[in-house]
Amino acid sequence: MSSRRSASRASSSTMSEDEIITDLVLKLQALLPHLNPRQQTSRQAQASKVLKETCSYIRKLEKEVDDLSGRLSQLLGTIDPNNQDFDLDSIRSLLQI
Amino acid sequence: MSATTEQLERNFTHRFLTSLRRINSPDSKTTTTHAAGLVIRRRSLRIKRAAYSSMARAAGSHRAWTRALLSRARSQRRRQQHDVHRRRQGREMGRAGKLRGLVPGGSRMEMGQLLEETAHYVQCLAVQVRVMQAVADHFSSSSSM
Repeated sequence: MSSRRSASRASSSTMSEDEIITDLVLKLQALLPHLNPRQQTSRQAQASKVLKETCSYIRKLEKEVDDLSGRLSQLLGTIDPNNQDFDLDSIRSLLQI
Repeated sequence: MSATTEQLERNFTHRFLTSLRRINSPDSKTTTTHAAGLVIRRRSLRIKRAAYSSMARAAGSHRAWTRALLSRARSQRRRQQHDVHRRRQGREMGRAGKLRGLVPGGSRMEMGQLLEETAHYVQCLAVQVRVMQAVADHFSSSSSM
């Protein structure tokens, strides 16, 4: 395989990871089909793009969790805790879950 | 949606709604002695923590990220801090340094595991957001406001 592959300790040093990263990141891309990296000139560049877009996507989702938590907190203040809004079965059927 | 995702969604929804009911119960700490804005903010943090914990439990302990997230939540509770999802510094940067900081437990994983855990974490986050959105829509359509 690669002559750059390091035989030393299994740490995360950048040099020994490069080719492994590229292969595995492209596998990650396959698991996240909505990501659409442009055709890059090199596999490395494509892999970097996937890593970057994955980070953006995670941040976006976490921000949505923050916003939705705020919204739910406001909504909970308007709900009578004794009424049927918390009926799990009706909510599940409404959510079609 | 695959069968496993459906099951995850059901499991998460059940746990999350149970938590919401508990958070909203009249004898919880958010009494009227506090200003309304503070009540809402505090409750928002509790809801956020409940969402992540519910998802981590629903996803199962065979995942490293779920174990890392729940253990972080436990130690944060002991230190009485609010933000269970505080960003960690990635110690070893490399190309995946930012990602290591985003995925719970990521700084301790070797690369292959990190990417697998990332894919699972992202899928679970998407489910979490989808369900929270649906619950919020349900409550907002049935509230009297």
